[in-house]
Amino acid sequence: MQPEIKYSSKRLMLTLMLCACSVILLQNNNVSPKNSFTVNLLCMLGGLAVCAVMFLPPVILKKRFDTDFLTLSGKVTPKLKIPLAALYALYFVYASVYFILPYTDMFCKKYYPGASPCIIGLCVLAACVYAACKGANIITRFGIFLFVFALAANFLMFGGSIGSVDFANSSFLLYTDFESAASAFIYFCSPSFIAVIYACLAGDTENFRLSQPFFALLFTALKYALVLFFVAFSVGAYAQRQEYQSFILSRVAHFDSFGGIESFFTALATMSVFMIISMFLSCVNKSTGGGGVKNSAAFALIIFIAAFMAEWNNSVKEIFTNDVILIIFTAVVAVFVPLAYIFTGRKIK
Amino acid sequence: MKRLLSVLLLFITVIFSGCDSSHKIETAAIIENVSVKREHGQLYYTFYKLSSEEKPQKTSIPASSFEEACKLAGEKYIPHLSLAKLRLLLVHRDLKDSVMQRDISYISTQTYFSPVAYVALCDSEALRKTGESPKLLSTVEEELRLCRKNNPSVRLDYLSIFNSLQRDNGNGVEIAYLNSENELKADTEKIFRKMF
Repeated sequence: MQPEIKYSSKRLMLTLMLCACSVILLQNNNVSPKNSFTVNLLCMLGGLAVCAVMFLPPVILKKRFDTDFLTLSGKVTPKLKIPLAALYALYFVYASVYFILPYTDMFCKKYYPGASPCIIGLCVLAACVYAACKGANIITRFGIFLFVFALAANFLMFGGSIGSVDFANSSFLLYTDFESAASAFIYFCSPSFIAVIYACLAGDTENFRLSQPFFALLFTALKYALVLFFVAFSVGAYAQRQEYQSFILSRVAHFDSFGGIESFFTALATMSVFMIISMFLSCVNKSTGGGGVKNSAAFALIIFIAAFMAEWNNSVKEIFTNDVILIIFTAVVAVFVPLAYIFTGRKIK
Repeated sequence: MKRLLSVLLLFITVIFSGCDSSHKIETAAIIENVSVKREHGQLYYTFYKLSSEEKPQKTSIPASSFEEACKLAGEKYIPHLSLAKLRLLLVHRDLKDSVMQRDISYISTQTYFSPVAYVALCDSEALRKTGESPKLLSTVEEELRLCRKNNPSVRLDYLSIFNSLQRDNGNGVEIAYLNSENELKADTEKIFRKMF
């Protein structure tokens, strides 16, 4: 078990922001060309507004009690410790599989055809177990490095795509297809998983300011807007011919004869997924009260088995990659359960 | 001890993966440009390999489409075929409506092709000249860039040609046409959406 050392809240928020930003890197036909760029942008803003709402309960708990939900529930309702730990562990296992499946799929289809998704997943999980054992504090330090790398990779990706921008490829007008807009909106709600990580780890941080989650979501919105803009206007209809549209953007980006930015893109996606799953495993360690290699490895094994089953059975894969299930589950663990504790706040005091 | 073991493992992985990559690069047949022409009613796709020799190695493959040509090339004619560095697809002018649009449509579905590689039409003489020397490939690219500078509406790469054809409502799409009346020169030619 790691000793409880308080670390900067800014650092945790930076890490969560990077986790949220990475969602769009694994985008696969989630944003429809049937909607104009403006409609997709509005869906994105709506989705992130939902994320902001999901952030409210953990932020209230942090502001009012300077703690996180898991610590608070352990103190106030010790009898519910095991059911709550099971609920949160289940959520983190589900969310880990939700991210590892599109990542391994993208890696094996776009970057290294022929590689086995299970082997790639196993390698990522092994690294995540090691990181989770070191604790969230160390992972957030890695977040600083990833932030710098993400800045460089995004600069290359967007800078290299400017030359291909053609405003005839999409439109700023408001034309939409309701089903596609609803699907895009639901997809853009999925970064709300960061609220659950915050609900679990906020108690270990210090120097919290209300502006921190606001800036994290603002920066995430900016990143999403840029990706949406360049996919719509640089890649255009070409994007719909293949899977993983953000990856195609990295193929389009080039500076004169210098191209090959997909390596940077894949590295960024790999490190982002590594960070997300490491944070999830850290949260699992905290919720289950264990922090050793055995605890992390046991949950990593469960994640691997679930991912393996999903690779072999499409109906299992559909369950694990369903945005609606993730969002409902997120709302339960980030909003409804913590709200119950907030509404009984007087008793807690 | 654990750290030493980790460093050793990392070192071994790096060494072995590095050796594996260099081996792959040495043996890979990297294709720089492909040309398409019809002879006696049969389509021929000629693949030009990247090499340091004065005259690039070429392999002509009879096939009904680029998809079939790539498949045949990989399986039968060119072992360790790599199309990731393809820079130029030259299509004979007579094939602009049928073959070219179908091949661009196929390329747009494949990840390993760079979406920003050039596509141009050309006459028989230009087709023959471009295969003579690797230097000519750079000359062609310079000509194409110059063509776009003089005429910004011209579309040079798969990405822009595909997107322009998708939204073409009968006005046509201007693409580059390499002719060799006196010297190799890029002009423009209109194509109209035929298939997809």
